[in-house]
Amino acid sequence: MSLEKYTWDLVNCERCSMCKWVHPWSVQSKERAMICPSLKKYLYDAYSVQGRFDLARALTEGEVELTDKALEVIYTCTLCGACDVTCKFTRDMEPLEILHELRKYCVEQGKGPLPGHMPAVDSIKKNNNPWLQPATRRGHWARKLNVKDLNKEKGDVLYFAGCTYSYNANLQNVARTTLGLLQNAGVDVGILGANERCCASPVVKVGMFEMFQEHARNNIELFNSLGVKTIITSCAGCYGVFKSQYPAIGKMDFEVKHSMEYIDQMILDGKLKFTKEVPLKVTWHDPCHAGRGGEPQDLWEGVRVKWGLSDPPRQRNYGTHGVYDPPRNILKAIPGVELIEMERIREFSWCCGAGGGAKSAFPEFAVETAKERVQEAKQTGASALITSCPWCESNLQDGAIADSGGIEVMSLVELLEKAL
Amino acid sequence: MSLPNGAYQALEDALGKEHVCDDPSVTSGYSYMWLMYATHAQTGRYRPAAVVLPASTDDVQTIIKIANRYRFNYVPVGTNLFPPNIPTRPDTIIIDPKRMNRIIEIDYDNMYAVVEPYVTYAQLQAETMQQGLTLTVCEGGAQCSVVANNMFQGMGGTGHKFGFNRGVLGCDWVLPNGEILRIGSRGNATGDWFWGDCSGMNLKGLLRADTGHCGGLGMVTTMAVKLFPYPGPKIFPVKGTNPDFSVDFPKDRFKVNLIKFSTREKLIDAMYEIGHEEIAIAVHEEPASMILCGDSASVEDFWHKWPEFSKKWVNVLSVTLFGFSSPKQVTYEQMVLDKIVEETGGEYITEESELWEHANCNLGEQFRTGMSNRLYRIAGDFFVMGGFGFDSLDHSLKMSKEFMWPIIMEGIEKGLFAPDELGNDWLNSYQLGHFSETEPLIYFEHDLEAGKSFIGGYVQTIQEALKRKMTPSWPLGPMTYITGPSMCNYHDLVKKIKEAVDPRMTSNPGYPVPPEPPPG
Amino acid sequence: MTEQNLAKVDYQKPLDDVPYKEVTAAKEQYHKETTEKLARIVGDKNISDEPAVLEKYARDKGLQRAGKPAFVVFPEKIEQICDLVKYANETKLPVIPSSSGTHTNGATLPRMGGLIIDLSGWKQIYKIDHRNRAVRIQPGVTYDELQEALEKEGLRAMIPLLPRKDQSVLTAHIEAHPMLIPEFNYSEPVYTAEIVMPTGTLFRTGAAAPAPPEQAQTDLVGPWGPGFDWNRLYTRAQGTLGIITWANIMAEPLPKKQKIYFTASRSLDALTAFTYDIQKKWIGYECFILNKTNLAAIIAERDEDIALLQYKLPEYVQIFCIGGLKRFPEERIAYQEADFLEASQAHGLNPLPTIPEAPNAAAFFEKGLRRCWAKEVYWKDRLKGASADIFFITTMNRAAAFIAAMQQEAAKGRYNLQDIGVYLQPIENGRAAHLEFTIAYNPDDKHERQIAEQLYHSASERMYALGGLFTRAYGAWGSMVSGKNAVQQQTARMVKEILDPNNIMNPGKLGL
Repeated sequence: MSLEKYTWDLVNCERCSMCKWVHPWSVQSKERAMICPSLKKYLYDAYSVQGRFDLARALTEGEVELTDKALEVIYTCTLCGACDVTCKFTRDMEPLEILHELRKYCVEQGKGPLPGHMPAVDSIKKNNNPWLQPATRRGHWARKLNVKDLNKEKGDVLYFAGCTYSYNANLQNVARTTLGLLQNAGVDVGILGANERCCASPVVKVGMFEMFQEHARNNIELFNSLGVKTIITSCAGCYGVFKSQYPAIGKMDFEVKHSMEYIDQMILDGKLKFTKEVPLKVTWHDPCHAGRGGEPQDLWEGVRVKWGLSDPPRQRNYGTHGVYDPPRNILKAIPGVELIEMERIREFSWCCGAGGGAKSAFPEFAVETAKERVQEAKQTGASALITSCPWCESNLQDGAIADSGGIEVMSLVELLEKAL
Repeated sequence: MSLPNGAYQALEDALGKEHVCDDPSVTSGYSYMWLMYATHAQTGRYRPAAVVLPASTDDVQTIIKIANRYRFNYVPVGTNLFPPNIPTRPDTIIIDPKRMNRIIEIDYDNMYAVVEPYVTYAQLQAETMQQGLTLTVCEGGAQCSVVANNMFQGMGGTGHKFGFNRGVLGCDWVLPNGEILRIGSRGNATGDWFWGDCSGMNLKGLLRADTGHCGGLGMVTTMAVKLFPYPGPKIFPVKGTNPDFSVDFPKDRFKVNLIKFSTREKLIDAMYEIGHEEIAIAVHEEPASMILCGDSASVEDFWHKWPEFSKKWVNVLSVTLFGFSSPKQVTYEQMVLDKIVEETGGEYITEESELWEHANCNLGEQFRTGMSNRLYRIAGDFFVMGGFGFDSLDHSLKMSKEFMWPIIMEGIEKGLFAPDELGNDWLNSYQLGHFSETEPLIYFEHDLEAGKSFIGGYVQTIQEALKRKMTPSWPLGPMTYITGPSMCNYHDLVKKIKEAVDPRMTSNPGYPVPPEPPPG
Repeated sequence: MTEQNLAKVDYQKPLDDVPYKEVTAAKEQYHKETTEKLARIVGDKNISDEPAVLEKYARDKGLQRAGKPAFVVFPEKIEQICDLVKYANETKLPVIPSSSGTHTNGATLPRMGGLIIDLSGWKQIYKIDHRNRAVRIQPGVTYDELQEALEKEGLRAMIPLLPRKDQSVLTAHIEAHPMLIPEFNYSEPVYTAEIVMPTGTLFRTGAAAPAPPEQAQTDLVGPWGPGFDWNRLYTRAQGTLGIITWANIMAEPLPKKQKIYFTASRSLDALTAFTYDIQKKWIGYECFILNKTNLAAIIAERDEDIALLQYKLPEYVQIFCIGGLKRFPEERIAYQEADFLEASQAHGLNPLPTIPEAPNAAAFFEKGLRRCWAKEVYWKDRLKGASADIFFITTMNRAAAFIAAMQQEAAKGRYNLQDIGVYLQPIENGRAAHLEFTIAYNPDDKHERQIAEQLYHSASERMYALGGLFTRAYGAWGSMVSGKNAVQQQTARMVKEILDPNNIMNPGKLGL
């Protein structure tokens, strides 16, 4: 695919600006009405998908050059996909695909990704993780666990820890606890240890599509070879890319689930019982990549015909089939926990700010975005902001520090563990 | 695409470097809108020379003074959905009010809110609903600027009760000569916002007419707008998920009625009677295309349902009742409506009908989104083929039938407009039926031939109206030279006033009237 | 004898450019020529320069400075008005339109002589358009004439509180007199109008612009444009921007049945809070508040009863009328009455069908709400023989502060507080309010008149300083408001110069 393929979308945008806001029916206040973190921070329309459409059109038609400023406009976006959801209330366009395509275009032109992205990209090339850590230490998080090694024996379920939960000492407990829960529930689960490889989400997000394809293909081959029925991951980033990008790369002989979905089912099936009360008011942050970015994508190859109809007809994503209910069900099931929702939730969730390479290339933007989410969370009166994505958790923690604390940022599993 | 020497420096010094940008990667985000092909056909289009981000009325005043000093043009925008916002001349900047986004005040007792230009309807309404007040949301959608829309048209789905073009109270208006004219009570000794008429000569009359001046007479930087009582929940009661939303207002206070008539004439008779009885808050003839696109998840979904739906949804009137005082009001108004429907030969679409399903989100569209929000879906673009000729309900019907639809049918027969041949408009009652305008909707692709056909058709509707001595559609910019000579030469007066307040012609120069008639 | 050295007498005589006789002759000639020219336009019988006639136009019932016109004409056709205005442009002759029989605010008093165009004889009601709830009228039509005609069609016009018998309906609309019904959708009651512009050309507003009414295929009800909101610009312009020759105005459904309630309170704040509440419920028609001075002047059957009644009546009374329309009138009244009474309970108020201290109030308002004041002496003048009004736009919750300030001003000026009438008229469902103080005085008592005059000026300044919005900037108020708002004045001058390059129309008004 290339930008030209999206000419219909680029030419048809009437700058209605739905992409900039939470859908009007769901706006509850003046302060929490905007949905595009990039526009909120950088103010010029160019930093919304409407403006990026204009830039894409101008680039493809040679009206403007791919300058450093253009690269900044293109990359100061978390690819959270909120614009994609709100645009589709009125239009039949593919903003998120186009934002990805713009970055691919930058890479093809030899201008992308940005210097700030390169350490992670190089590390993925070299170490199979973006954290500049040796691949050999990847499985260390599970060293003390008695867990099946799927490199050596068969199992029904692969628990895919992902790079961040594998390497980040502050977050590793999420992987360990989740794995323990699965084991306690009798799930035939195993891990890949040092042979687990980066999902390559950070690569595709910065536009390096060829490298991503290679990684994804290798991963799919590996997963298929394991003979597992299900892959469970606790990382929303991995989950999102498995769900939305991998199917286009190759046939997957397994289903992918976020650990929240599995845990929710375990509670329903009575396989997970809580023994302690956790008296806490909490609010829930929907990670973009488990929410609106976690929907399976239609692998559509076709053209636009009269009146803009797609031929063959394509299924569109509205961001509504992400993993929204499972975490809420879990929170409601934990004794003593009171869930108070923020204003922007589910498909209209405000991004944590870390995605799309923003954290590495534009850290100030990432933290400001997180800070806004933290403020929204505090406004609910909750004492803890719960999420289930290592990127979100880590960036929201930075946001909380920037906003002088006042709320604890916690992973869902961490909270759940307190009730066991 | 550049400004005179010294202009950038002056702007940067005044606003701060980060609030002035001339980089094409950024200005390209203000340079494109397909429909400008139609509106700017005679004047060209340009990427702006810069975009500036003022934070206050003072900043805007400074920008305008700099523009006059260095002689470049500016276009003030709101949320920027309006084709005349795209520059028609090269040395033009855009004044983007992103940093002017405050709701300064909501006065419950006296039912007004004071807002800056980057406050949207969705934002303001969300806040006013908390206090038991609302306002009529513009048809461009609730994501549009309250100030910009009130400057342009100020119309909305609930205009039957809350009025058309009646929303503006006190304003701060930076004139093109750089002076701040305070409209209404803003000009009194204590600078209040509550009222729109001025002491002394009522200069509010210059603020706008049936449409605004499209940025051609400076920029309104703060505006008080009228609010109205709202007897519903504090948070908009949305149900469902994107894109299949519906609303769940308390039924004893909010009621939508859908009524079919055998002819449009009978439908209009019913609208008159509803007006005479002073009931309802929203009264519209609603065309099938508008209703169906409001209930279609995609263009494919729309065209899949269209053949069957269009057979069934003909001459439908939507009447929404609000119980402002109590549920008793809804009961009473329903009784009156039933009687009118009986007398005018209408037939209710009941909640059991399959058609009801399609009108499920009707109330939400009328109250919160603005009716036209999803019309883009049908064919990529849409416009109103020469509606907006304000007069009576009878006048609306007459112009629709006599010349608007014949012009539309030509475009449909040529395959340029999507095949909606039902001849129903979005025909509106405003202020209890005192006035009306009608909007025959056409849907077209971004195909230059269709665009030409649209703009040609639009101009033709103006000419046909004038020929018949009826009220024409909004003439924007150059079209004023068609309407003016047939309407007491008002364009000469408008031009003189433009020249007087904007002697250097820097404020969106082609509006409200270009200095010269366009060639041909 | 020595030779006398005689005093030298050497001087220059004053020079006349023309002999005075010629000046006198020229003045006479000018007057004669002007008279002839005007007579050629309007006909001999329709012009007057008789001192007695001119004197009628030289002063009004208010406290504004007198000013005599040179001529009064009574044109019969619109073309004649156009010709008069064109002629006035040639000779710089000021033109002042006048339509009502009685004037109170100085709007028609010539500031620099000129020509009064009296349109009070223009009595045509062109068309009552029941379907579109409109009536097109000439400037001389009065309320009783119009209401009678409309009632036959089941309609009524918007009416201020008990206007004078000779009040022009068109003037009341164009000058935006406060109407008794605060319904938002009635509150800008002019649809379209025809204007003789200050240059003598004809202009029509809104949907009337494309053609004269007899040719138009519109119903003349679209009020906006063309180009600017001329209806707004011309409203309250006191004839400074042109002469309105007809207007198409709202004619609303006449209630089939109605019910009036009187709610009394010593506290204005209590009544305004209640009024806000019921106006937000969007119920009822006429709704306004009077203090006991005004109320006594209105409902006292005999002049001599006023003082006693004033003593007996409650401090403030809200008058509220509920009406039922064509279909189910009783049911409409029933639901609104129930909601009204429920709201009154919440406010601790007790609406009654009449005023116990003045039982005739019910019968009076039952008829009087839609009619002119019928008695010889106007109600505002009953107390003392004359009166002057100070009025402006504010909000209901500011009214009490204005009243307190007014009382302070009255005390300072040694004016009897009890003689100040207060009328509070909510506008647009209570969004704003017209607040009017009536200062009664004895016109034959020089001292009393002087006190009233001083109070009028000092209180006007005080009300303005407190934020009163003088949208109808009559007489001295014109300078008061424009002198303190330079941009407004400069912009208004610009508009005036564009529309009236020779400053023909009612010069000196609006602070211009």
